[in-house]
Amino acid sequence: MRLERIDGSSYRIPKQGRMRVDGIIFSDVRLLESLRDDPCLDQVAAVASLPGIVRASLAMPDIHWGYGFPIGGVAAFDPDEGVVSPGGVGYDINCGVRLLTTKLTRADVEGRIPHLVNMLFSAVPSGVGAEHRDFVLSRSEMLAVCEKGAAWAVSKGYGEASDLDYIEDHGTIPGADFDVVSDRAYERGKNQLGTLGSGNHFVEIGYVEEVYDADAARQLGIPEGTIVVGIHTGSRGFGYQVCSDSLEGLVKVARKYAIDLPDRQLVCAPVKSPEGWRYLAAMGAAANFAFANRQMITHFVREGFGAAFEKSWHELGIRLVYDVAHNIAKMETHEVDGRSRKLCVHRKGATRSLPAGHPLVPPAYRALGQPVLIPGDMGRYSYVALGAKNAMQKSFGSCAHGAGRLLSRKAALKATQGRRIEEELAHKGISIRAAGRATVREEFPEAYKDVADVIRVVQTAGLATPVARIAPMGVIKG
Amino acid sequence: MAAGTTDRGAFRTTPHTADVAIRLSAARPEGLFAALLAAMRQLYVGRRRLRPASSRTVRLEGPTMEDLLVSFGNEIIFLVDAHKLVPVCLDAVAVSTDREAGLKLDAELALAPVDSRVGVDAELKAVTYHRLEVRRTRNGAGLRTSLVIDI
Repeated sequence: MRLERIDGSSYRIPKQGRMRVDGIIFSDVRLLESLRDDPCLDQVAAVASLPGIVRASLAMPDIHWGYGFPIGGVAAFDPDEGVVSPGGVGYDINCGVRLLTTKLTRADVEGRIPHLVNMLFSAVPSGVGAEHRDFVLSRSEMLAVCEKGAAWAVSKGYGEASDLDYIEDHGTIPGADFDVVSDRAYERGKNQLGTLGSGNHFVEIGYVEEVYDADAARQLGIPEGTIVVGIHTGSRGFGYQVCSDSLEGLVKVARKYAIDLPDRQLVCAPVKSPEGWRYLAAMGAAANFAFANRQMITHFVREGFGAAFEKSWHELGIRLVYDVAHNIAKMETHEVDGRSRKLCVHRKGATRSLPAGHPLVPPAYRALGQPVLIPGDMGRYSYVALGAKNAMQKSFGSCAHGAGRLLSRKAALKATQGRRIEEELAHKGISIRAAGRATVREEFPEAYKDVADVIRVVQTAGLATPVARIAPMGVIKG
Repeated sequence: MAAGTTDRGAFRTTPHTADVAIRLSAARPEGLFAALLAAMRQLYVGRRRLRPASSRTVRLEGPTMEDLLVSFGNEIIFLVDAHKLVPVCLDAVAVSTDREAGLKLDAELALAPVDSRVGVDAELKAVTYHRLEVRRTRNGAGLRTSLVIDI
């Protein structure tokens, strides 16, 4: 795959063969080295062949091999000429991250992290097949969850109305329709709301280790030394089934639209077609399930901290900093060649990144920009950044979503043979509880790229501006 | 129910950064499904022995073998996720042509309940279409394919 260097933080795959536009990779020499044997660049080129794609097929610095679209892929399509593709969102619809802040400092939690970790591990169902035995959504409740998202959870007492101001799209994707969701999706998801799941999903207690913009950090509520909690999860089996059903349905009608696909996982339909709208409605339902999921887990975290410190969570100041989706497709307005256009923007393993002044940024942050949450791995650090103006011009207001895997799960198990990762983390002062036997080894820190490398490119490319670095102290994994 | 086959096929996992890639091979089409079931069983429960406690008839249709493999794999995922039933083996399986649908799969799955104390080892999200193409082996005597499972 021929790459042309554009500048120190971006490369071009020139339009060739079936490609309708260029591919643009936000990366640098160091990160590109890790992609040498990764087929993700071929995937960027494949996405560039889809009809109605606008400007370029984009790849964020944490790009790695997915299926169809790469993970870390962003693509925007004209709603009249272009397509919507479930593979451009992923199976875990609205997998995303939220960050909570507190009034606690490191001194307050000294010696208490193992207890807090155990408490959260009990409070938040996690692990493979995690579900509630005693909390099963009826069909009418599931309908409400799918239509209202986080607002449903708040109406049931999981959090406060003010939380919704700090969630992307206020925690509710409009146009969601439970009627287009299959019975199978309902069956898979009915007792999974309020659960973490497995793999790289986590609840993580950390502290603000370093601040790069003291004023912004203060306004976000994350000055140096603050104890924060990150939550990473999505739509669970409900979303996976919605994606599966959508893919199988679109494969059946692929011939109808005569779209030439280099990979069947790129199966798609015109945005304005009945099948396209049906997918967006089903995706919206699953996205709202995920927003409700993270809202419920937030409640469990608040209650758990409250019990541990014998205070209300209000007294502990546990408030939501922000919640972002990183697997989603949305109709957004962007400027292209000097003209304002409505586009169907797909982000698969990529985060929205809006600059200061953007009307969709919460009023409390409008002068700053949208918080961009970029978790790393469980042994090193994560970052909080703010959306920057260049993101609107270069990446349809998008940014990286994490560190990106370096090693497959199999390779991670091989690399950690004979090692006791929990002990290694404990020596660094990090407590971990994981539901799965192999999870800690599969998710060990070096299985991921160094997120500091990702942040460096994000900053150089002007996609977001780092505000603070967070160090892990306690981790719950599935 | 159509007659079964003793072709169990074979599988092995291959490197994939974020998910699981599996290579399947078999002498006959039915063997690919047996191999896929065996691969998924290993992902779910490793080498643990399972005792079948129930069976389920699965009937699927699709225009191609690839579609049937994806549907079959996703059927297994649904059984595990929603019904807590892990596939043990295929008691019977037959692939036949269908004038309208293209291809038909009739299968009898032997199932075991998920051990509530131990659970399963992996959460499989879905079998994907990524790079999925069933081909003849080089000597023409059998079939092979690779597929990616999102976990």
